[in-house]
Amino acid sequence: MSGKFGKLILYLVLIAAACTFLYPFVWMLAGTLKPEAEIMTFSPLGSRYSLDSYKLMISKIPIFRSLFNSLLVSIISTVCVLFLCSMTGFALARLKFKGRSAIFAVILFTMVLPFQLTLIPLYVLMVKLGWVDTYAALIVPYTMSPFAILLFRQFFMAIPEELIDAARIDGLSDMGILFRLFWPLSKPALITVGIVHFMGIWNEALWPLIVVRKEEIMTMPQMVTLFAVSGQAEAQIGLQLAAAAVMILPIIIVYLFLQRYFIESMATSGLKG
Amino acid sequence: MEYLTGEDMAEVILENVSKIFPGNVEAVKDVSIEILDKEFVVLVGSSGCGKSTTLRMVAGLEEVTSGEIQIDGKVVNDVPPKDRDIAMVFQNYALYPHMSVRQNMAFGLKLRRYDKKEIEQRVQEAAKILELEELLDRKPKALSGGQRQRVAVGRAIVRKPKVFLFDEPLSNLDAKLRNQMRAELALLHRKLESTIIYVTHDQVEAMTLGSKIVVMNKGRIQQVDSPLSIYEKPKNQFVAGFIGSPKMNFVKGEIENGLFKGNQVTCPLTDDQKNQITSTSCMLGIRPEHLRVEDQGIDNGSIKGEVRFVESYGYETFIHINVNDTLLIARSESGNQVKINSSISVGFKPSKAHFFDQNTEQTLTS
Repeated sequence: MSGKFGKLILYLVLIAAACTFLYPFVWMLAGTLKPEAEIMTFSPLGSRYSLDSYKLMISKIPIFRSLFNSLLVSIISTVCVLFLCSMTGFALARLKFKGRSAIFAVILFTMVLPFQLTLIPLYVLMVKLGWVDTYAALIVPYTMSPFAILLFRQFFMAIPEELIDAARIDGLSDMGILFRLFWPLSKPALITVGIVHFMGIWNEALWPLIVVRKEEIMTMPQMVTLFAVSGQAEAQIGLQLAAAAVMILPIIIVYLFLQRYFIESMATSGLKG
Repeated sequence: MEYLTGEDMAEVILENVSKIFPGNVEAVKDVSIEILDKEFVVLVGSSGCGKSTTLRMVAGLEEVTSGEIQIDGKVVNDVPPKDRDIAMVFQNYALYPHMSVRQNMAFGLKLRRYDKKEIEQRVQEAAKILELEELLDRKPKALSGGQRQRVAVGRAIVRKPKVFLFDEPLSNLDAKLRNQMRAELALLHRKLESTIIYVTHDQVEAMTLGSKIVVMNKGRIQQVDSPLSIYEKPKNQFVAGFIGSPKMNFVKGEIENGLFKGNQVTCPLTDDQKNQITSTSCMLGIRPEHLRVEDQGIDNGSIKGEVRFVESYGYETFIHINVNDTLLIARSESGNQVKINSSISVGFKPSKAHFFDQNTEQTLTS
């Protein structure tokens, strides 16, 4: 009996915890569909549902242009991270050269620095390079990620040395070993880095707000933030929520398709690291 | 077989090869070996003796610190592994997990841009030799240890290399499979007629597979010879103790008037031994199989002691004899009735005894 009771309590606690995560999300989605007057109630249920908030949002802001910008920036940046960080991770895990440990230590150190600390120097750099109000300013600073380097390095270190020896004898170069041997063996790591980085860039609002002022190259979070605070939404909560819902939709779709690999990678990288 | 046998000569020569790892760790010291075409050479020694490092230097996976390695008459010190025309089989198989058996075997050929038809022919031929035809579309994880090792061998033979390198290929297999694979490798060598360098710590593999054995210890070559010569005429105490199972018995003693005496062991020297041994202090070595209850006699060597314990394998029995707190082992035919703690006296023919210098550990007879 006590076992069953314990289990019941456990499930209740877990359900309560799940609700604290899910409720705001459900509330937001419901808010986009409910009449404006009913949004600020606790219940996600409304008297009627419509897509009016979405229609209004589309008419007020260039949401599709910013959606394209966000996709462009996120995809290019993620592809760069996958290539460049896996190459760095490979070098740190498998190539022998002087200063390898020092370089890795510096990379790890950059992980503890808050972004706000490097914000101003980075902005100055963008101004000097003449990249303000260009896609380069949105993409280039995000083509490397210490987290991705760390994850790749840990994953690659777990691959047996003899496999690399066999590949060298078979005729693979270092690049060949990375892309024809390590990449197929590291799908979970690639997918995890891909998802985490894509989400990070997709949700980034602060940096675009600093380096981009032209509406044509604004990303979605930037657009939504400006839309919410600059008065274009005319204090209509439903409109703001609709913009936020559109923003998170691609992330949810990507995650749903790749969640199996994502969980697998998080589990195995922990064990192997 | 037409696709997998080669005409190329493949002599491998190592001249004064040394390897020093960072931290001044000298793994291989001044190693010189000449491996003839179609020879099966086994590098044997205990863990950390430098045998695998030597093999890896031949493969090009480790840089040579000093010395020269030649394959087929060409110095290959600075030639990358892929251009040395070698193939290697590893202890843990090193199969590409994301590829099928067929893809694993074909990969090296594909990278060398071989014609698709020829790749398929070679893969089929190797699969036939190694009985892998049914498994060609499986991934390595769906194979047993023995099958994986076969695939690893297959991957090597499809390349038709000048030299095959085997790095403890049977160590991960269970005893039964190891025996079976050992026989298959010997057969394969006869079929392919290729040069093989084989590394193992298992002296049974060394004795049964090699046409030439290189015994290594602490990075140095101790002896290079045929298996039988190594067994019968070990050059030093290390080789004598390493080759043979159970290992050779050693007894410290003195030689006086043509008679060895030491620790309850006596042995009259043969005329040959008398002529060759000049020092008085020495180490006598006698293999367990030459210590026999039946060989007692006035002209033979003798050992007196107490039976400590008896290991019976059915077809043979090992008697562990305590001689003044030193354990010596005698091999006897099955069914030999000896009682634990009873006194025992065993004899041996003086011609079977080996004598080593106590300081240099080198043999005193030839």
